[in-house]
Amino acid sequence: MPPSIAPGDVAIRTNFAMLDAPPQMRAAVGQSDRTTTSTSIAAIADGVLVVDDETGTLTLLDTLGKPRASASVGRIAGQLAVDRKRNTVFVANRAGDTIEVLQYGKALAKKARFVTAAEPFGVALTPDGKTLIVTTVAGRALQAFASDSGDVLWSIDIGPEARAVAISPDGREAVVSFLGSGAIARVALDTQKVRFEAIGATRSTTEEGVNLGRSQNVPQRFSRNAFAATFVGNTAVVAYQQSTPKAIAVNQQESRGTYGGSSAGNPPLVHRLAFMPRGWNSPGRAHVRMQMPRAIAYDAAQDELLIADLSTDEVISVAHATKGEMGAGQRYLIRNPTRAVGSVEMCGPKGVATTNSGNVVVHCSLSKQVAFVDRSDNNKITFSPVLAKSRLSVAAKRGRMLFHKGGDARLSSRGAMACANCHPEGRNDGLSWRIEGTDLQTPLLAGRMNGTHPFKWDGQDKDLHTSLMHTVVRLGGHGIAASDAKDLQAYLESMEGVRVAGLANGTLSAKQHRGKALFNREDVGCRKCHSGKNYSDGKSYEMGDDLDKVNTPSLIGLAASAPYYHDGSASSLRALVLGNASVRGMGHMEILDDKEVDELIAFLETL
Amino acid sequence: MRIQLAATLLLALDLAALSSCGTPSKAPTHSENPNVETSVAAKSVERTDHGMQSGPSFAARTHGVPHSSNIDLVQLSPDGQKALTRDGLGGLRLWPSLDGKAEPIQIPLRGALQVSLAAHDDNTIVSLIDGVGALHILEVQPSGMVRELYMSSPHEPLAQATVLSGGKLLVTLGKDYRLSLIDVNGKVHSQLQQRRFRPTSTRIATEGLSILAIESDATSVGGMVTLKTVDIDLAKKVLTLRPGERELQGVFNVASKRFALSPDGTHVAYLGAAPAPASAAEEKRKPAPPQPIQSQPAAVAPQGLLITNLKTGALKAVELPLPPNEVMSVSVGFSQNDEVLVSSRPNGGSWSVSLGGESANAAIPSPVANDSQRSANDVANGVRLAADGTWLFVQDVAAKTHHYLGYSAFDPQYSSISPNGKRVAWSTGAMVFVESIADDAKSTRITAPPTEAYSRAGFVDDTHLVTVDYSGGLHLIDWSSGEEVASLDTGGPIREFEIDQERKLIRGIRQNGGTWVAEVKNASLLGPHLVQDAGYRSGFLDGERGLWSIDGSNVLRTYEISKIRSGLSTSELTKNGVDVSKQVPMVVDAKGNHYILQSESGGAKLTISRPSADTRVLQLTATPSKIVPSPDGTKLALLSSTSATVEVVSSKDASSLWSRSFLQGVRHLSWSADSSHLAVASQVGALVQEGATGEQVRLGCGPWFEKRVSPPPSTVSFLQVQNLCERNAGQ
Repeated sequence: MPPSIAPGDVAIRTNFAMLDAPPQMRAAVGQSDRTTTSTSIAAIADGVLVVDDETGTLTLLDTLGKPRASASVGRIAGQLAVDRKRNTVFVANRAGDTIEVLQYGKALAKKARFVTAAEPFGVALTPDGKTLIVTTVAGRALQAFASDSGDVLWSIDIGPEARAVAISPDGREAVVSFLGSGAIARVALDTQKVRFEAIGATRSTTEEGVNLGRSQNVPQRFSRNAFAATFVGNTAVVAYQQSTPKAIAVNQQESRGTYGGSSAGNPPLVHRLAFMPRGWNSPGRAHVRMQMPRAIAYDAAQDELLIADLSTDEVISVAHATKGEMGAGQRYLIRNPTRAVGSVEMCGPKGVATTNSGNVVVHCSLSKQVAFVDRSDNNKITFSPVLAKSRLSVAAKRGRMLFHKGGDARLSSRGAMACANCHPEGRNDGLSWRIEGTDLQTPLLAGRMNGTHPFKWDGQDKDLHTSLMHTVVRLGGHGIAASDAKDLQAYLESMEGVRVAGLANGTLSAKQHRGKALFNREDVGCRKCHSGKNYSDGKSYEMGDDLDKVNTPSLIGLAASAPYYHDGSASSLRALVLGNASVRGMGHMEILDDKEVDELIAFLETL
Repeated sequence: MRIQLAATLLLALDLAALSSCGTPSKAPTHSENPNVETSVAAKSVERTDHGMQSGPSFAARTHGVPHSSNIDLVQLSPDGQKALTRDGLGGLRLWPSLDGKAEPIQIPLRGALQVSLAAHDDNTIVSLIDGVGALHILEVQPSGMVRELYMSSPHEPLAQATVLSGGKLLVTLGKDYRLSLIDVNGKVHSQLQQRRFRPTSTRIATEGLSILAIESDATSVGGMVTLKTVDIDLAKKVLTLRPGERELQGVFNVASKRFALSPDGTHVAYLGAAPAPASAAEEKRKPAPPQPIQSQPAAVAPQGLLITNLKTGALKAVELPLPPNEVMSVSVGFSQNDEVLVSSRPNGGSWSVSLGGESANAAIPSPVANDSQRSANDVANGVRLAADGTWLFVQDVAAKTHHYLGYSAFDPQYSSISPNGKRVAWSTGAMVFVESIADDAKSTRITAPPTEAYSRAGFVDDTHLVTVDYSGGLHLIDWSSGEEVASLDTGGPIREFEIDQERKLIRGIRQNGGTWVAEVKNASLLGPHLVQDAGYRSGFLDGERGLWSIDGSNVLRTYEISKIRSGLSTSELTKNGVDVSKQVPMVVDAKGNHYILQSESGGAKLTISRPSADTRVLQLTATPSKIVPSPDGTKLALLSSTSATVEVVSSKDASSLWSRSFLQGVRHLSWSADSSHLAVASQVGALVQEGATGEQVRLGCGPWFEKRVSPPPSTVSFLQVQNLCERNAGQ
């Protein structure tokens, strides 16, 4: 194992380094008959089950990679969980708000359907197989279902942007990871009590009041994109991204030549593993060289953690996971040479699992294949056929690969940042980045790319193509070809808008209707600029003292795009409506009374 | 489908509003409509997030857990009797008293961005804002029992929380600029969110029971802050905004320790630039300030301390003899209503400024600091607290007295377990600490004379230690009394040291090579008996063979102790050796087994060549830098220096019995005579573990807490990771 690295040191070239001592993780347990960690791929006795999120296709493959059967589980899928004792698979139908239950054998047979809160994503079974736990994104709920009957056992508010769920081997708790909060939720499964724990902020970072920006972005390091979580013993292991959106002033002089908190040798994004024991023991953290961890699996037989990195096509192994000498293991490059087209052909690992024989299976989400890594044959990699037909155009498919591509110096300085690092699933990271001396909020992309020109907060880029060409240069990249920008544009324009919690029943409530009326009222003034189907007039106005002009942003997906304003100075819609931000003079909301403020916010949450 | 529905709604919206917009005017600074000054009235609100679970209770150690890293934040309770401190690794300690009668208690959370505390009966209520903006309210009992009373959700992050005097209520400030009055169980009693006002921090007037809400555009080069006062009605548990506000210009920084409110809430003191005296013409041209808003003229140099009367706006400017770059390391606080203390970086000067006097700007004592990089300070109720490394400097401002609180530096270099297995000795150089293994009783400390240092110390029997100083001098010490019974000069500094407790033999290897053997007999030290075979490694052997040695040509020799005692002849030193250069043992144990290590891809091969049995070949998962066989030959302690990991494996088949990562600075491993325990001396703590299971038996990180008036000799920690006591708090 390489030596530990100093606090704050990010050393991206180091494959693995412990930053804090890991907790004692003695309880290495055998493989469960149930999937206790939400995933997109699971090994079964004589094959593999995998779900393609983009097309909602569930496929059953044999051990040689030959598809045996497939089934549609919805327009867009989340993750799956498998009960190997009952030959049953549970798949989240993300767009249809159901869990699809299927029997597998030689074929796939639909068995049952559980109705969930809006936008189910992560699914996991308790070790006894009796309970299915589901995270829902727009529904902001964690739900428990009786796995045989589909009865809702309980449903609790868990907060926005929940993703992975994992159940501890003793069945006592579930851990939920989130895109944006920087915390995990530990949920006691007997009482449904929730406790949040910060993932990465274990060191002192900065002092109140010394942050450079106008918004309240302290500390300077933020834990983001916790898509992947599992358990080793009763210790939760979470893969996450550490973002440093602002530089720390040195001698009161701010470096204006860097993007965010990057400096010589240190990129503004690094990735970590957090080892979070139950109780009060200190969490341990490790630096792992990865760029977009999307799945993590623990192989008790090998005592290793396997991490699927979507952006680098690598599956990264961490060896001796329960021992003091935990360290870097193998790195498997999952790339299909027979399908290489240009420089952006990618597997896009989004799921990983181990088979009974100790081999590794990988879900290639971008190429829509399954890769089989034969560890008994010098890690020979074979690929299944393409399992589903993408709905995207050829250009959009290429754009999707580019959007997720890491390590590409065309896109960012030393390739340290991929588009999806700050815009996971086309969303935003909830941060304001220090860019060329100004705090600029990361905008939401999904659903906002068509007809919302000009782009950038100052409206300097007349169209999306121009904006993309400029963005990569601003990120320190060498630049992309016009054809690449076209591909990216095609992908961005294909993104659906995010689903928001405010539109709970698909229609506006009376309160939301009143809010809509306020929004449209001339004297309130919202509609004056936030007009049209995109809620933007495409014009720029003098709104702040740090930018000459600010482009009117689209309000589509507003509730999912906090913080607000170009500098992120309003942390909530309420702060925005009450005028509690650096930007003032927008509309005339001072004429609204408290009730009307609530109504307007209720409407804004439906956009 | 909801997305489709949303799209339908978009089309249904009133398209008449598509008309172009005029350019809005620049944002006004103040509310233009006095009728909407307070948009959200104070009201009682029941929280609905009862689904949050509190953390489990935590029995914190009440002694022996010093800060792992240097203190970077100190916070006094309003009465100045207790303090909370944070170190550079995020570790937190509650100091239940500042008189030296109680050691700090570990608070089992890391990385708090903001802290506060107040006494509540015999207990202390502590509030912490963690790295994701969640609030934790803890009750800490004198016994060290910590209960988490409440934790808020990180989805509604907070910027600040302050426990009010009495420890029953707290004032919180949300990142959405909402002020709340809550109780210790998180129940919200009153909330206030002022339109067009976004306070980023607050100060509490402990006597006046008011909140000063601060909106700041101030940076390190100066700026403007806007202040509003909120009154706290403790009986009704209601927050009420006072009309009016005050603007201050030329403020350098509003960090909590650089912008202070007097206990009665009448004055603020801060670092800034004094206003330039306005000429008569300028005064004439200046428009009258709008009422009730009161402003000060724009600020210019020089920098200094500014004190503003919040009621009248009167400004007092005090020049401070600070170097230009020192401003960011200065802290400001009111020791009383009429006195401000200004503290700069340690060794940089501190001053008392009286509000009443014209030229009251008197220097006051500062800690004689080892850690000159930090400037963590706080002042409350006549008490000033300053951090010095992992220590605290406590000052009674009125009485002009001070003392230091902290732990003697503890970086054990060597460990030894007594023959009866009841005690363990740790030598740090300046001191040797002897501790009971079975219980948590206080250590016995033996301090080396000022001109010496005990680099190593080991039990020769249950009542005596042999220490070796940096000159190679041996000292036989009765550890319970600290009395030196005998001493012996071995002729120079050594690099290796071993005690054979059964035969009361001591072995050393000099820095430049050459083994010697000494012995304890009748309370005397005899020897040294030299083994001048140019050996660079040696060790004791059981029975008649006595000692093995390997020279630079990898020739292994064995010697009988009786012959060593009587003096080895030249032929004995040069002949009868065995060439082991093809399989050089890393170590030879007392039974004469050779341990030969070969690195391989993905691990190492360990060959145990046994004189009286078959050779064993073991596969190890990593390459150890040191192998320490247990005396009974059943276990091997393996040290990986690069990862500072200790793993104990079976010597039969290399199966792992346990492993532990220390992450930094493992110095020495020693087994007990019966092989039941393994002692590990490390930079991050001293640990005795069950040899077979790794279960922790005795753990020490700071055995000696003290209060002293004179500056401590060493206060700075160089640890990059938490010490073991802090790390394994919940085990």
